[in-house]
Amino acid sequence: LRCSGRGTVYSFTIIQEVVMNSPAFEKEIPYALAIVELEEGVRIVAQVFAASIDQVRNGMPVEAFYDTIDGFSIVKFKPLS
Amino acid sequence: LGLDLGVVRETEKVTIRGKTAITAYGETPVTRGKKERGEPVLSFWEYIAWACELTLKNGQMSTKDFDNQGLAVTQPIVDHPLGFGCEVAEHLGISPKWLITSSHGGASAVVALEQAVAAISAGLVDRVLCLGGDSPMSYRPMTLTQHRKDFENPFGVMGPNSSFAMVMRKHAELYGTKAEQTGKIAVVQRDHALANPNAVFKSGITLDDYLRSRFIAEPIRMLDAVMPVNGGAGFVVEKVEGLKADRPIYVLGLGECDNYYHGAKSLPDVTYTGITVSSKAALDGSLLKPSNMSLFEPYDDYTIAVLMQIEDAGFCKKGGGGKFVDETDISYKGQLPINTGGGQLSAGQPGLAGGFVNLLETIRQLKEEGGGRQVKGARYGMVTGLGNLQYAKNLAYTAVSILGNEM
Repeated sequence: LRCSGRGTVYSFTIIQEVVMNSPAFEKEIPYALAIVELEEGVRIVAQVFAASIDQVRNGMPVEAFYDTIDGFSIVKFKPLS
Repeated sequence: LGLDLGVVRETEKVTIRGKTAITAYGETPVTRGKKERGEPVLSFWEYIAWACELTLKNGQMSTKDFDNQGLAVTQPIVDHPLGFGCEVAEHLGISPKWLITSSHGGASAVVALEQAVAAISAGLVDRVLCLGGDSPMSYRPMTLTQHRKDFENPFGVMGPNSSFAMVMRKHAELYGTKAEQTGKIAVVQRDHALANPNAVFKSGITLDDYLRSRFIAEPIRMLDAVMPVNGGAGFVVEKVEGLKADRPIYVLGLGECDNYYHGAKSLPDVTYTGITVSSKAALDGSLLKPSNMSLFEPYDDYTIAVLMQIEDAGFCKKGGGGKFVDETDISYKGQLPINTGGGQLSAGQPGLAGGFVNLLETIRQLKEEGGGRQVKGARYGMVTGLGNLQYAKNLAYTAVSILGNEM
């Protein structure tokens, strides 16, 4: 299955504290973490970066991009342009 | 042939009702394991051994009573060998003919009870000693699920706080559930903990304290989340036929549901848990209704888990949990007493032995040994177990048992 990278936010949380994870996430706190429903009908859990954290909403259309953290390339989402 | 198939179907569900009873229980003191404060630091092995001693003492039994009988051990979260079940038997000097190891996360205590009841009801053994202990404050935890390692941690997920936060926000979006409602659960359970000498928290909280407590994964606040502790617990299940025990607590119904989906498999509704299925099986088997319950002891790693289980176990309709909490006295004196010992939220969660907290409180209440938090005239109680979180959905394991001090 080839994914378009587009989806919508099903639900999200604002992460305020690193618990049982890499300290590399400290510099990104607070950030939105969401269950994103991809157009293809599957879910993925990833960070969502909007211009302002307050803009993140359930049902918000988003698109994927790649970023590097702690030397790893990971998928993140941003509001659909 | 004039057969009422409806009746046949009902009786087929009643397979274990009243065949077994819990005849002893024991719980060690819990601790945060802070050496610098003079608190003891014990391994999970030591907690299991201590729980065994207390449980046997409570039932006036000895380890010899379990040679050629059943032994059930729940899996700890801290680093342990794959052969831990028989090593526990070796440490205790018991040679069982039926060894159960339950590895259902927080549901393991209720699952150990289920498997003990199944073994006794099948005539394989007459009694089973069920034990659990864990030391998450002092020893390295193991990986709970592969998806957490591969697909959650690298993407910024902070364990169950994150997953339950997304469930909590979805519940608020769909049903309008408010912080004041989950807050009431936190406050009432804390009040209950103050009457529980073995609770880790010793001071009360107000709704204001709850609302002001800091977010760790919004909308999850500090006071929504469970406090880990070290500890251990145990109980004995016996065959009722020929039983000579003081005030046995009968096992009336059981249900389990694992890897539950609500709706489409790839896009399930996360506001439902497998308790919808497991509680129905337990109720059907017990021939009782939610309205017959004198108390409800739902597994409580988060306040929202309690609220969702009030709905899923049928105490109100789906989405009505917030309103139910608003309108119901859920204290030990109320219409539906919930987590009367403070639950794990306020008494502490001894790792994957956490499920014993809710189960033992149910037993204690039904034996009328609840002290300053005793539910008057307690007759039937429902206890649940929840374990692990699946990826982008909901819980992995759910189990429900209905107990009673009469048939």
